[in-house]
Amino acid sequence: MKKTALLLMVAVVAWEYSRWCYQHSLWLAMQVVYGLDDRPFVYRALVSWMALGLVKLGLREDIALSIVVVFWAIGFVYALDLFLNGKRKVR
Amino acid sequence: MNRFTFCTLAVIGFMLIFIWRCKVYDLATGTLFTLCLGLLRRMQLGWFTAVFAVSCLNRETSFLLTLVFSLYLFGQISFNRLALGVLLQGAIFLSVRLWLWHLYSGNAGADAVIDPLDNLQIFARMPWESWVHWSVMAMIAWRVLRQWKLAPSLWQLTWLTMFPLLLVMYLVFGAAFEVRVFAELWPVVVGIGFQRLVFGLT
Repeated sequence: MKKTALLLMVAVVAWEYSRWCYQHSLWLAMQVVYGLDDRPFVYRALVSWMALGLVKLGLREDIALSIVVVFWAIGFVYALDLFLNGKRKVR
Repeated sequence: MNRFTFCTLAVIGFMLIFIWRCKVYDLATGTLFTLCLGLLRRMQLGWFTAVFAVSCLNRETSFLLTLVFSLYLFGQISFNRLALGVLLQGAIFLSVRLWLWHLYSGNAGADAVIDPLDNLQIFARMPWESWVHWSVMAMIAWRVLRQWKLAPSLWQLTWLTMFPLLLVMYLVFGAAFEVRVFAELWPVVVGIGFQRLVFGLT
């Protein structure tokens, strides 16, 4: 329950953070999702492609982008947990 | 507080600190770098390479992971195995970057924005903001150095490898005050800076 609440908190903050990233503009979000951004920013394609996949499933571009950002925020929590829980495998 | 709660607060802190001119891929950058470093410490090199490949799609600074990989494992695994790992990562990095370059070669803009003089001029034109900016960075670096001896060797190596290079890249390729370019260092800053707390958590 507590973990769920924490992840929900991360998701909410990440959702708003994502909207700051494309300045609450659907047009800017579309630029990112469809790879129309300027170079060199467009070369950072992973998040755009993930969002494009969600758009093809029917989501609006800004919603898709925000969902992807939330996904990475939650992933960051787990990655950090793995990083800080440093059990080293001895070979 | 347990470790999961600490990690949650650290990620929220990341979003709050790096919000200025934030980009949609910054969290992915932090996640992939953190994951790679965690896998490296666990010597899960196959998974490291797989995540590295994904990271190359996200940000060109992924080459820093190969640097850390080679320096950390030098002497720990056979030279042939290390060389193979580095060559494989190099091939993945180059292939992905060339592919992306080709795919988006028609887009507006330039392959790299190089304007160090402009950045220095902006710092000079905004002395108060610059003073605050560099003071905070110095405080963070000082915090890391004060906790240095307790830190695992991988965290130390990551800081020593990435911080100077990211600093140079920030001044040469970045924009003044755009500290989000140090996103790759977040796990190390959090880990070393708060390690007394972190190591006491379960």
